[in-house]
Amino acid sequence: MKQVILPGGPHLRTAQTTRNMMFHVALSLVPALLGAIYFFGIRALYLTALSVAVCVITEYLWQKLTGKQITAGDFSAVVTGMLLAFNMPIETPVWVIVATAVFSILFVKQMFGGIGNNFANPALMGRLFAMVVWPGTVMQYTVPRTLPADAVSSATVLGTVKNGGEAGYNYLQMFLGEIPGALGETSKLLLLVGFAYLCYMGIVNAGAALTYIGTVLLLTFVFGPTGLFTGDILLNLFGGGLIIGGCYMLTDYVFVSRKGRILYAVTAGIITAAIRIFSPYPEGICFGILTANCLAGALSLLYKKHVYGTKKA
Amino acid sequence: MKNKTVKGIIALAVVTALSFAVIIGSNQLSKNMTAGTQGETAEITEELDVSGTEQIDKAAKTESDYVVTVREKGYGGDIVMNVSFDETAASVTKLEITEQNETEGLGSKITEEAFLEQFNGISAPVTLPGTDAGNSSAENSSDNSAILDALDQAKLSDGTFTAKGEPDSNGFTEEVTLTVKDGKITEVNWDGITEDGTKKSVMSENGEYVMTEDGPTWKEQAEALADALIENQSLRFLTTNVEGKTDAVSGVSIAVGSFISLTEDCLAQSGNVDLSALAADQNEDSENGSDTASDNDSAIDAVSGATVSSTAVVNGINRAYEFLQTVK
Amino acid sequence: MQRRGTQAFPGGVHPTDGSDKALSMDQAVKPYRPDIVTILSEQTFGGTCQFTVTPGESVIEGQLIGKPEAFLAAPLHASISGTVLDVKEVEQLGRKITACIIQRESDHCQVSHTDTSIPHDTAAECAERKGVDYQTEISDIRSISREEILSGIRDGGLTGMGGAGFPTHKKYETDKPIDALLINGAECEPFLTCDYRLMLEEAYALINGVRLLLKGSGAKKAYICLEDNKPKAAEHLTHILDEAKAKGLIATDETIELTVLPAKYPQGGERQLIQAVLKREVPMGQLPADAGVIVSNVGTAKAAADQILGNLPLTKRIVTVTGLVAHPGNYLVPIGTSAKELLQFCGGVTAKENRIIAGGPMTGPCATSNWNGEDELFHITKSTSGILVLPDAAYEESPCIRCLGCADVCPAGLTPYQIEIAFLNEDHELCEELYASECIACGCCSYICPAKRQLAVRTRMARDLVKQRMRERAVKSS
Repeated sequence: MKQVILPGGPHLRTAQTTRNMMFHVALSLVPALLGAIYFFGIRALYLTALSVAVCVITEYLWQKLTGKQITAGDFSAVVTGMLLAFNMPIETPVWVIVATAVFSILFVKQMFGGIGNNFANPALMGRLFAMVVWPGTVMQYTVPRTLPADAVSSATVLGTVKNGGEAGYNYLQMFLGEIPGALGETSKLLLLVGFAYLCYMGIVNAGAALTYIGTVLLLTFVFGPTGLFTGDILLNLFGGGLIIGGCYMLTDYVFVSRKGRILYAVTAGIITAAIRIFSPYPEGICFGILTANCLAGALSLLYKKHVYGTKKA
Repeated sequence: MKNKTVKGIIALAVVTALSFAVIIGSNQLSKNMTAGTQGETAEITEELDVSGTEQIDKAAKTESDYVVTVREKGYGGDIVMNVSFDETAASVTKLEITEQNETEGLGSKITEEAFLEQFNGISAPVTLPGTDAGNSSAENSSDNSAILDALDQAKLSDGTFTAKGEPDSNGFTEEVTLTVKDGKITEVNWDGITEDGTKKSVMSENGEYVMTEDGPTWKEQAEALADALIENQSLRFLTTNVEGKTDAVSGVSIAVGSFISLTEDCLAQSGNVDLSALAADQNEDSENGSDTASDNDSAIDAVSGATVSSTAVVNGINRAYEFLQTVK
Repeated sequence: MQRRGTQAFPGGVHPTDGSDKALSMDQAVKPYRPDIVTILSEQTFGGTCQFTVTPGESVIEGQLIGKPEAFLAAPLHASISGTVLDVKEVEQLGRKITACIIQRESDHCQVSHTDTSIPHDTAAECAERKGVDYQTEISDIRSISREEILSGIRDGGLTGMGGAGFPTHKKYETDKPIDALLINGAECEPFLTCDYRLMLEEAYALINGVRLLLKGSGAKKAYICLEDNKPKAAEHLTHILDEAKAKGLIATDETIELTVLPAKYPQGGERQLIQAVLKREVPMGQLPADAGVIVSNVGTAKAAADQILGNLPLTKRIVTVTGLVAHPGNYLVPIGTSAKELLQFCGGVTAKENRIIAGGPMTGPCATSNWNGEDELFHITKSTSGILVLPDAAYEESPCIRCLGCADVCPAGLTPYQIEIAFLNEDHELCEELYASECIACGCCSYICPAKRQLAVRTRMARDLVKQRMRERAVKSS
């Protein structure tokens, strides 16, 4: 009888792989990318492709140089690259994109141990980095070219309203995406199409995203700009990056359990809403989610899973 | 699993296509609605014939008034406006700007109520202080009559005079050489020279500097201008419009601003005129449409900092008025 | 018949679409009669028996050949009639175990191990002469006392026939108050259909067995639990139960309920079944009896009827042979049948690149990869429910992406990826804090992991380590 090496069970495995999942996430971002091209011109495609390429190459080189397992082909860097580009205005200079992409992959993801070990969402950290280093470049947004107006920079709708201005766009335009904003975030419709696809494929759980968005809307409605219960729900929902944040940034994999996820989403929602209400920043998505990212460890201590056979907590 | 993936991707493609249909559809719809709301002031009783007129898109007589849609060149492209007149076609009742691409925050203010309401009830033609915007030729002579007066009066001394401008964005330094003999201008040469000595006139002949596909070359146009100047012996004939172009010499479509200023310079040298003294009360740069504040009192206040846009609006109203006078 | 909600127990997975079971589902059970059997002294891990026969000795089917030596052992019986060829060590799934090898010589069997005076009849003759009708109708069991049932269970060598092979009498001889008996027919493992066939073909024996076990356990109510992917079996059993009740053949205090649960792996896990049906949990570190429940497999219930009503100890079982084999199906084989011979009997494997698994695909150990059809594999024990041939697939592990899929599906409520990290860091303290000891080794975590990490293997190793630590501590403190 020959020597038998017993492979570990179980002998059935799901067809889902990391690569597979990330591929579907990237695919789900394609409608928003097409939207970006439609609204802002072909440069949107170039910027996104550049960002993706830099992310993947950076990851590959780092893993090659440090002798780690090469996972650059697992599409997670592609997703990071796409989200990164989606958070930038169309007129962002090429070198800003390159620098931010390298920063995100190298300093946020790989240096903490690569996929799964990053303490925060690399794309969001990249945006924060760009906001701090080149505030003028990445905070000026361009009006979509499909609108009959000068191609000049302006703040986002939320930003304009925050500074006491008129929105200037109706809710339908905000929902469809004909508003000034970063590349991929303007069309809520196309983002939701992609998100629905992910839900259908069973890759994400909509619970956390809905909780997060719900929390922000509830709080901004209750503590409205002119008194209690005067917030503009639709403006808060469609006017900024709440949907891309909730659907794509928040659901990045950094949290604990089903119920822990809800807690995490609520925390991110509260911080986002607080920033929208009290600070001069109109969005708050970036800070809200990043803070919750960092708090995830602490939150996991607050909520423990019930282990079979132990006393109920 | 495979089956589900295929289904999912197909569904994604279909829904995305539908979404784009909605987005593009809504874009078109909102454009149409914007256009639609402006046309429905009153029942149109008679469409007026606009053939043979330039820049008038549409004109209609309604029960109580006339509405003329005029297209006028603004700073950032065409400005389209609906001008409504009362039944006598003499005074403006309402002005609407339906299309414009003027500078955000400056020229675009022509769409604001504060500017537009000035026109309600005003009798045509309208003038804008500090400009010749009331001029029916819709041309704006460069407001340098003081200089022209001085130059016309000056006695020109014989000799050859040269004036050079600053290098422009294409790298050309413009130069005018003017020869005076017996107190008369006998020869004028206008050219642009690059840093390495290449002449614009030569380049235009060789087809390296192309104005339009089949129009006269830059050199031909420059020579036509020079000939016209010798013929007139004065710059007074050379009226320019808001874009710094002229209709005074047929076939000339190039910007003539630098020609004028450099020629002025040469003439000043010849006639010994101090231009800088005269420049004090003139608006040197009419082609850029800078604010032409003036103490002339008139009915309309231009939008501050957006003379070109304001002028275009006034010209449009006057054009509409003239058109109505011809068809009434 | 009663249906339970969809959230019967937390977690769990749906590994297949049902095509796996369809391979062997509609194949009636066929007998296979090998000429040689190799009966292992250790039918379940840690349950060693001492053989009472010597080479050359003649044995009759049903004759006691092994006496329990360890706590986890049950008596062993000869599964065919013939001569003992040898008692020697053989290799079974990577371990060396003493086995008794018997060569078939006749088809006679022993009706009763207590009554050796009437041997040498065929099994069929034995059954007929004794007038055994428990296989075709509801028997009258009023005259059988609880003590008789318990001793029958013990003497019949009954063990769990679904998975771990825990000796049945250890479950029933408890001093804890038992209020519910769960008869496990969930058969949640993909590919396996032996319990399903048993419920269809041996329904009367099964129900009689359940009644005996109910009486033996002293519980108030028995639940026959099966998944909703076996509607024919549910219908069949319901029909028999309803008819028996209508005819008054079942006493009023014999409450037997059929419970249909949603198909979800591991629905048939003992603790998960208790949670799903009774909404109670077995306390950590304790046995189901501590929660007032006994869980027995349908095969065990049928074996109880065989022993107590038919005087036939546990010498045969139904084995599902499926996957990449020429003739998938269910086979009634004597304990100790060689897996190699059984596979050859089924037409052999149909793929060169294969993986032979003893049991179900989720928990069964792999016997070998790329089997050539000739090498010895393993021998059927009382708890071998199937021989499965799967395509040999290799998975490359990639880094964990913290998707928490493993934590979501873990029916025990563990967070396997954290246990894996702690285990790899050799932080056994942390493993214990993360309740690694509560792992039920169902394999759901490895199944769902998109990074294809060997979570189940490592968590199981962590569990064994932690349990070892706990035992050592207990020894020290005492």
